[in-house]
Amino acid sequence: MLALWSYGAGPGEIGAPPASWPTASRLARHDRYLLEMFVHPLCPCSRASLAELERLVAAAGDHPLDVHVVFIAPDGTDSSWHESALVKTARRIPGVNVHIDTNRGETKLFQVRTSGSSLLYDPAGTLVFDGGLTSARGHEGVSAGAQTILALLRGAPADVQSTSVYGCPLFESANPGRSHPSTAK
Amino acid sequence: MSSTIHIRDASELLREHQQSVYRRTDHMFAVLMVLQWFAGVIAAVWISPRTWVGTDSTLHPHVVAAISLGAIITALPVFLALHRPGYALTRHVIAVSQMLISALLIHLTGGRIETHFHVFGSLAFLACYRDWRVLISATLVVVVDHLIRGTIWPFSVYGVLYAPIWRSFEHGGWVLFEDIFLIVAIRQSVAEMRSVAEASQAISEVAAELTASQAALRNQTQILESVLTSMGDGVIVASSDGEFLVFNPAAEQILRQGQSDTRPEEWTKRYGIFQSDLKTPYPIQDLPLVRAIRGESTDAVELFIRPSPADRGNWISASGRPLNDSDGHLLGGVVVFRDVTIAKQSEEALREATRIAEAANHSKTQFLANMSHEIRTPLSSILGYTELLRRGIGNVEQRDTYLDIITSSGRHLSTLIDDLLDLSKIEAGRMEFEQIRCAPHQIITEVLSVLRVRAQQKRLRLECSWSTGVPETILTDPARFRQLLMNLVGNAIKFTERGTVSLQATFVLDRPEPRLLIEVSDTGIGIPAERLESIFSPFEQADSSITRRFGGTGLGLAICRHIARGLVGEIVAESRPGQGSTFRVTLSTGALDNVHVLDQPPSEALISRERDRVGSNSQLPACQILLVEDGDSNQQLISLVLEEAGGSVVCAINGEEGVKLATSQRFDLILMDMQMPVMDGYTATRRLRDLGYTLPIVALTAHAMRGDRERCVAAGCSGYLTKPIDIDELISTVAVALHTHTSGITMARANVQRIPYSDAAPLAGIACTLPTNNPRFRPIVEKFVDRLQDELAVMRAASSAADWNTLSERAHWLCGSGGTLGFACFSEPARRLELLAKTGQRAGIQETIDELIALADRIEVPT
Repeated sequence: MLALWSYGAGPGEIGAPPASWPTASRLARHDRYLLEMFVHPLCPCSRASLAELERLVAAAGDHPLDVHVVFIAPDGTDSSWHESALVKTARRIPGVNVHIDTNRGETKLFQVRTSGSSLLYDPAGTLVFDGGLTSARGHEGVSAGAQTILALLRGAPADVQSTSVYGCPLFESANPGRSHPSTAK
Repeated sequence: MSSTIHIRDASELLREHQQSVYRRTDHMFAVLMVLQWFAGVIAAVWISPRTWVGTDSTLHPHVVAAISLGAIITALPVFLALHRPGYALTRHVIAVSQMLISALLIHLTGGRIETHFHVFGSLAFLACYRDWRVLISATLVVVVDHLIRGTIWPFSVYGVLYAPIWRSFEHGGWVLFEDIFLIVAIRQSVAEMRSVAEASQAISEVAAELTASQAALRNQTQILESVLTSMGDGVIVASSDGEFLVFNPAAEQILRQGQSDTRPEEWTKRYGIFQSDLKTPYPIQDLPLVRAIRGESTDAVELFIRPSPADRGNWISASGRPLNDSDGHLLGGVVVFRDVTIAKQSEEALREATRIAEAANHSKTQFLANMSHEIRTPLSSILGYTELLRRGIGNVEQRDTYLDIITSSGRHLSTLIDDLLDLSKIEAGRMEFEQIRCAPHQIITEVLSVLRVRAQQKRLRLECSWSTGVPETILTDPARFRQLLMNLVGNAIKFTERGTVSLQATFVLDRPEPRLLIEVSDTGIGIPAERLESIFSPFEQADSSITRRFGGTGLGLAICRHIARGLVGEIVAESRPGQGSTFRVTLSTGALDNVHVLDQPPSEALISRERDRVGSNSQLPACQILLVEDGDSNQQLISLVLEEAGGSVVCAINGEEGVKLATSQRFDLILMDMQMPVMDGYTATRRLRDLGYTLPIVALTAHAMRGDRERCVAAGCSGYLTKPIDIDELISTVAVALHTHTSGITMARANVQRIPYSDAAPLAGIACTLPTNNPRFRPIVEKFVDRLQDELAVMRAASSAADWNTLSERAHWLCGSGGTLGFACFSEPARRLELLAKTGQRAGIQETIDELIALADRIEVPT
């Protein structure tokens, strides 16, 4: 049980996403909030992240928000990656744009390291939040990340700008990126 | 067969049921938990098979946890469920493990609230134990798990980072809430189980009672079947519609038919049941079984059964009874019957025997009347002529005539008594037959010689002829043979008025056993054909008028038939009424080895002349006779008689002296008393024979019993005379013995002449039958009379002193001397007294002595 606890409660490595919207991104950004989630298509923990994302989208309601889910697709992967259950789940979420990140170009561009990493850019293209939507690996439920995003969308002040991400690593080799808990503003 | 049911207590049954439930639920959980484990592993593999690092992946920790933790949690309860089922520990371990699995699943599903339903499902499953304590164990695990894990790792339980403690209590409360319902349900279930156990106990008790009742019923049925099978009476039970319910073997045997499906209307025809006329079918409605079915009882109804015309049929006696149930409703009927054919035959035979007995009784009554007449007639003559002699009426010639009539009448009475004695012996089955080699021609000649006078008196021809040669000797009983011929020839003469009586002898060799056939024919009145057989029955004559006309006892032919059969032969008669009769007698001759067959009969005249010469004129040739006799009266009398007849007598007083005299002097004949002091006649005779003495020895014995003669002959005697001595017989026997002693043994049978003392007229005087007018006889008689008084006094004293030897000796003396000295009336009571004394029978001794004294008082000695 301790091993499970350690596994489930251990946050993933935090990347270093760009503070402003990189123009090299292939994603289309409009003058509205843009939430971008990077997901390993075979990560079982990310099922909870997508579920939380779905709740979050539902909770956002009419707030101007573009949601993009980017599934990594390293070289040599096949349809089991491209059409995984998580991909299909994401596609069923209304208002969500699903992208297959061939060769992980976008992922590298935004420098995220862990599946479930979510980035929120405001209408000005400024990164206002990065982190995960779950509180442990594979565990749904109330999380600080989702509450912060909803607060930002509603124009309310956010308690944190960054939270831990719980999910499988998106890259094979561990980079010495950040690995820290939520950062208060 | 018997079986018993063990009745168990309800609590025992409940415990057993609960144990069964525990074991069954243990096994169910053993399977369930393994399935859960597999399901958990499959779910883990399906949901999160691997964990990824980029393109690299490893087995997901959840899969590892599902396999390892699931195995750890599942192993112990499954082991206990399989190896220790029913134990409380097993089910509590299962409860705890099941809750731990719930905890694991909740964790693996990230604290999904839906997974918490596994807890409720598990509790519901655990309720299958129907043991509320198991729920408590499970609930404790849940509550503790929620409290601990919900506090330190709420995400594991609730999927949230933070969970207030009240949430754990709430979860625990909901679990307890379910527990309440489950416990209530469990208690109800246990209560129902207890009810079932109590019901089972009650059912077991009822089943036990039923089993016992069935066993008892089986036993009773077995007993009933055994009784029905073994009983000799036929039993048939039929239902009210006529269906046979019981038909026992005896019924089949008696009816000679088995059970059938016939209707009651066909029973009479089916079983051949007839009325007493043996022809008319028995009315069906009157059959005992039919009446029983109708509710009527019958008793001992006789029916005739003849199933087929070839059957001889038999009688049965049947009784019927209706069969009712306990409420009195008529169920059918039963009939019990038995074969009474033999009983009816016996009844018929009894009736016939009764008829015959009544007829015989009638004949006997008739006979007694005749006998009375026969006895009274000569008795009247004897008494009457004796009275004439007492009164001195008549001259000398007339008195001689009177004496001849008295003698003749006495002999006739003697014959009657002999016949009666023979008849009594026949009826008692005690008539004995000897096997003595004797000359048949001699016996025939003797019989003809004796009866020739009677034939001549009636002017009848008496002829004898042989159709074949006749053995010189045969092996038979000469006395009985003679008696037989005397009867037949005597009858022939009696019933023939004119013509001829003939005797023809034939030697028959047509069979392995040679026989002598004697045919006695007459030209008399004849016998009706229907009476030819009955004349051989006792007390039967051809016609009751025959007795009146010809006299006789009616016993002669019955005795003849018995004698003929006793001599291994038969007697038959044929007759033509008015023309005559023929009686054929066949006799076994016995072995005839070395026996000469005579071609023709010796001259009867020769033998007759010899007998006449030696017997009729009462004279003896000059001869020397030794008389061995201890009784002085007998000694004197016999000596006197023999000397009067021409003999010379030397006396000896006992056997020893007799032997000495016989061996020292020459005698032509010895008369040997057989019972004497010092040495008896048997010993003396044997000694003489041992010494080579070959001359005749004639035995004198007071024992006229059969068997005495054999003893005498065995001792060596060649002749035999019984006391009291008949003078003519004495002289005749001595004469014959003197004449024939060299040619063989002649056994002369002494005809005992007795005076009818008991039937004599009351207080009539008793006279001596010896010629007391002869001066040589008179003193002997007087001496006997004088001694008689002394001897009677001795007898009386001996009787009083219970001196049976003395009494026996004196009675023996009187038995021999009384008759010899002309007072035969003493012989019978004296013989009886001797027998009573020898056997020590007090009863009757005094009466017999009194009888002798009374007789002595009546003695009249002419002066």
